[in-house]
Amino acid sequence: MTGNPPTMLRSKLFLRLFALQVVIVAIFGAAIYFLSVPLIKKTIYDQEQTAGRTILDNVYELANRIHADLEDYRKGAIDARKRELKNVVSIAASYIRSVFAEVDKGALTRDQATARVAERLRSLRFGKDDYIWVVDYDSFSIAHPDPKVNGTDNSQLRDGRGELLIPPMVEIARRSGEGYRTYWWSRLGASDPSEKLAYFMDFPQLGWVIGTGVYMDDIDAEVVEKKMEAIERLRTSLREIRISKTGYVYIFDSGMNMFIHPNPNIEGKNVAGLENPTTGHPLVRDLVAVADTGDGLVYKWDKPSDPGNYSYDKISWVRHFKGFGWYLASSVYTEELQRGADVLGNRILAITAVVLVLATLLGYVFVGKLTAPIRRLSDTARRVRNGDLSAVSGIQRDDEIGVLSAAFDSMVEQLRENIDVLDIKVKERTHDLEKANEELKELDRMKSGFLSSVSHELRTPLTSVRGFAKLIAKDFEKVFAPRAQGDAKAEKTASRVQENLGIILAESDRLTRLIDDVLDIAKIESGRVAWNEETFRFGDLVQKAARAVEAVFSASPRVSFTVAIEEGLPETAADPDRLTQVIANLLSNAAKFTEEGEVELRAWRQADGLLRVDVRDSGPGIPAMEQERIFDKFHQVVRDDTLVDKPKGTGLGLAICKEIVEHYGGRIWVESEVGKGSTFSFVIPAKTKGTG
Amino acid sequence: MNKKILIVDDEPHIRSLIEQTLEYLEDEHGFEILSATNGEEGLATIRSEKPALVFLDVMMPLMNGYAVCRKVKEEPDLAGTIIVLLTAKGQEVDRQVGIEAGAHRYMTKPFDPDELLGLAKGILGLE
Repeated sequence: MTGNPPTMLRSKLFLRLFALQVVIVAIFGAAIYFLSVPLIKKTIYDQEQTAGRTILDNVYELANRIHADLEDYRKGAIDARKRELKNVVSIAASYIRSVFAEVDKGALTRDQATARVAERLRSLRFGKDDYIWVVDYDSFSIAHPDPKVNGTDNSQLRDGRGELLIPPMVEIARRSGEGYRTYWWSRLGASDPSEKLAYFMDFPQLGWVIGTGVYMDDIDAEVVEKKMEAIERLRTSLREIRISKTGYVYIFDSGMNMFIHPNPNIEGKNVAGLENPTTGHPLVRDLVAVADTGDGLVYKWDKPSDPGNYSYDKISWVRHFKGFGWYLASSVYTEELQRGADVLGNRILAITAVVLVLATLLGYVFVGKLTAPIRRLSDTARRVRNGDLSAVSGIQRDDEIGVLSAAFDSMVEQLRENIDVLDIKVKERTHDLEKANEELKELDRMKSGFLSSVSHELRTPLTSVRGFAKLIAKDFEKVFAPRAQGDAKAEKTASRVQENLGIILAESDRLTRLIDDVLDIAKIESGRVAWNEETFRFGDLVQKAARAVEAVFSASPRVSFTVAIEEGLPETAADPDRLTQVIANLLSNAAKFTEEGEVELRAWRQADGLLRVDVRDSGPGIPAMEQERIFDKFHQVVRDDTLVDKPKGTGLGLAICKEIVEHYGGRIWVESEVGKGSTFSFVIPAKTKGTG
Repeated sequence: MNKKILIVDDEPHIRSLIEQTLEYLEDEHGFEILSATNGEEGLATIRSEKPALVFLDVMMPLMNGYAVCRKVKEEPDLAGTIIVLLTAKGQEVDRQVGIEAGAHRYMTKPFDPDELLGLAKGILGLE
């Protein structure tokens, strides 16, 4: 039903519907694309940015956790040391008590016990060369491993920062029983002071304060070690982090040292001198400026694949982690953030295109199916219009198109049947007509033959009638008329006989003319005239015709006959006898109907080149009604006051004139007014050749 | 010159009319008027009588005027015979045929007796 494509594509209906369908699908596709793609692109870009920021936030959280862990660790380590210090001091106190228990037993003196305790504690070491010290309430050192300190007054002793060292501890111990304090003190054998955490306990039985301490460096060293481990773990994790395709996270400290960066060339370097090619400022300063603002810093940077060409947009988000004094930054090429959007946009475009193509193809098929029957119907209609009545659409459907097609087919069938019937009838009629025509031709031949033989048969007796009448008239005039002279009655009779003979002669003349005219017109009408064409000067012919009838006018003195022929009339080709016959006929008619007045013959060449002859008379004129029929056969103008004493016409003269003039492609007509006269005119082409 | 005039016509009235018309020549100039009623008889008479002038009708039984005319012109001793064709056929074509057949003159019926007599006088040199 879809037909072959070229046919389909020639169908205007199909093309219009299909084009409409394509336009609609294209508009929908474009609408979907242009409404969705920019939105999707923006959303995806925003999401990518958020993802970049989120990654940075996560790293920040990671750093935060590391920091918290480290703080916890440090605190735990200090607490452990504190407990350790307390234990060590408790053990020392127990030892002191046990030694002085000997004093109570009396086994030792107080000084001996003090000396033993001092000596024992001075040699005691734990931890990392840590030791115990003992002072009395006056800050006098009872036991201290440093001989410079041992046995000295420490009431004015100050730490590495110049603060009074011992008395505050004695005071706390005596007030609270125990206490902790940090201070700056040189290690044993060292000159530079280090921060030291001390524990001290009141020993009221002896009025002593027992204390010990640990250098914080030792704890911090552990923390730093832990921190380094954490940083190494962080570095490892950060290397695995990717923002979009090649985006990464890096960390620099407030000293602008890049200590975590995926690029080993930059890692560990001081980047304070790195310049932002967009602003001309140090890049790090610009990064610090946007830290924790939520905004990214957009700048131009190069690419590993295109080093040195600082023309690629890059965006960096920065957060300041105060705990470590770090600046966490993520950096990504903006085109990578857009890449997802571009990929999706392209995918939507591709899907739209595919949908467009599919919809177009479906539309092609669908519109083709829809228009196929209409097209078929219109093809059928075209064939019918071109005369192929056997064309049938043959469409059978239960819809409106089906009804239309069926109606059309049945109409064409009806038409075909009607035409068939008509054809048969036409053939029958044609046959009849041909037969009738043959019969008419036969009749015409018979008529011509009949006329010919009738005229012959008529002429012969007419010859006798006329001839004998003439002989009788002659004999009568010669022989009988002279003899009647003197006898009145005989004279009268003779005169009447001569009159009657004249009538016989006149009537036989008329009969002769009638026969001649009848024969003439019969021959012209049946096309059997031999037109003897010659080329002659038209003026000469008119002149000759005028002379031929001059005699008629000279017999009527009351009628003046004038002839006006234009000089130098051209030649024409015609049967001169026939043309003469026309002019003579018109002139003799004029003479016949004009008893008194004038008859004028004029011949000239009209502006249009036709040769014109006018025969004007001042006769009685012809009524308008008669003018129309005057060139008909056997028509004669009937008037009471005409034709008295005049030979009657045959009623064929003007009809013959008309036949002759028209034979040469001319025209003959009359203009007349009753009481004023008539003008008979004809025109013929110059130098014409009749067909004979 | 053989003073004989022959009239060939199948119509007795026409023969009679021409005879009466030519009576003058018979009376005044001693011509003998002969007549025949059809073409064959006319030809036989021309051969036997050798008339100076023949009025010959065209439409006749047995042999028409043209045929008689041609026969006469074919025979050398008859070639001098002057023939005037008489016919009801007045067309130029008929006149041509007659002249070609050897006729001297051609008269159309109905003719005027005076005209016919004048023609005969003219031909016979009697004016």
